[in-house]
Amino acid sequence: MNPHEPELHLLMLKSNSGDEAAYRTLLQKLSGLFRRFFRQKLYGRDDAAAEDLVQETLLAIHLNRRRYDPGRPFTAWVYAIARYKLMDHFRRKPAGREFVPVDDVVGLFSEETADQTDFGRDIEVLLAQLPEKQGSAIQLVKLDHLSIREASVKLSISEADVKVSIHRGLKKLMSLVSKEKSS
Amino acid sequence: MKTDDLVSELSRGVSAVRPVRPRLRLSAAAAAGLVASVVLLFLIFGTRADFSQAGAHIVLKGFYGLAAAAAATPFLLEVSRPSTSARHGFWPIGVFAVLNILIGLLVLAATPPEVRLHAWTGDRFPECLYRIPLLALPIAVALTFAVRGLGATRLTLAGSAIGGVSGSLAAIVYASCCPADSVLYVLSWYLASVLLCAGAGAILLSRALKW
Repeated sequence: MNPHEPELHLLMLKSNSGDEAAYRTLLQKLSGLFRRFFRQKLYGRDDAAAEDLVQETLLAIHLNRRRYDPGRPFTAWVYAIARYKLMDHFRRKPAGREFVPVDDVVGLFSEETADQTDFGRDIEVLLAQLPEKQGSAIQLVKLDHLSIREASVKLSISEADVKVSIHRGLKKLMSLVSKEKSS
Repeated sequence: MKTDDLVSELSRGVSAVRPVRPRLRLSAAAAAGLVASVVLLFLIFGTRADFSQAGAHIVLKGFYGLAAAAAATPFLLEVSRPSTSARHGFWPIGVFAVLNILIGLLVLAATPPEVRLHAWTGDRFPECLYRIPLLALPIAVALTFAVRGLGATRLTLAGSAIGGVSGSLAAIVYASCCPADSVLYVLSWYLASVLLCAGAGAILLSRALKW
């Protein structure tokens, strides 16, 4: 079993029962592991792309979190998604393609890279491409840190509508990010 | 956007989630597909002329499809989700294939040489080669929709698993209109049809499964 498994599995269980702090810790730990993994797989030549992959993978995990089966190893689940994102990256940019073994779970959990350089894209540009309701819902709740209720008052739509808009918006964002990378 | 910010945004106000139940989801899809497949059978082929007298043969051939489906299901359950251990779901398929070949060879040895060709082909083109894939179509479509929501990461394998399972289930349906009853026929042509479905699934479905 992967040495990270007990800790991460527990964090994931807590996260899926709505524990915000546990979820934050989990995503932080994962982003360190992902960063190290993707940089290594890209031979340290493209740290910006590696950082994009980190973010895409985190987003994918977030959007798929209810599909995680608690009875199965969490590290393997996460590695499968990270590898999927990596293969996707290579499909879009065939140069530098290399063999990634399907069961190299250890490779993802080898050693963390502590410091992080920000090569992020401008979120505002992406948000502007979303339908207005989704864009403003994400802007208000996720960036301006309003509550769902406050956002629903501000946008004069129902709270459920705000939640759905955020969810759909995040999904759309993810497809925009991948489209942008392939072009 | 910094990754740390993304982490804060994603975790902010995260709510409890009700886990997806892959087994339930896939069984529901398979059941819906099967119903459509039966309807398709009646619309296009109908049942065999001597349906009422051929009960035992039909049931036996149905069991062949059922066994194939049972063998392929663990593999489908494995590769329809983010998976790193496709091998673990594969062994029932291996057992099924070995048994299929072994029994086939034994029956071949027990069949007198002069009737082997007749037993093998039923003296006509093995129509199940296109009929089973056709009947598998609605099942494959339903299963593809179900798998799309599960986040498969090995798309070619997932496509072949969908093809294999739907081909096996379609073989159950097809059994009621298939006129050839010899063991050799079933062990070779039914197997070939299911493999054909799996191959087609691997090629055609991997695109539809992308997320």
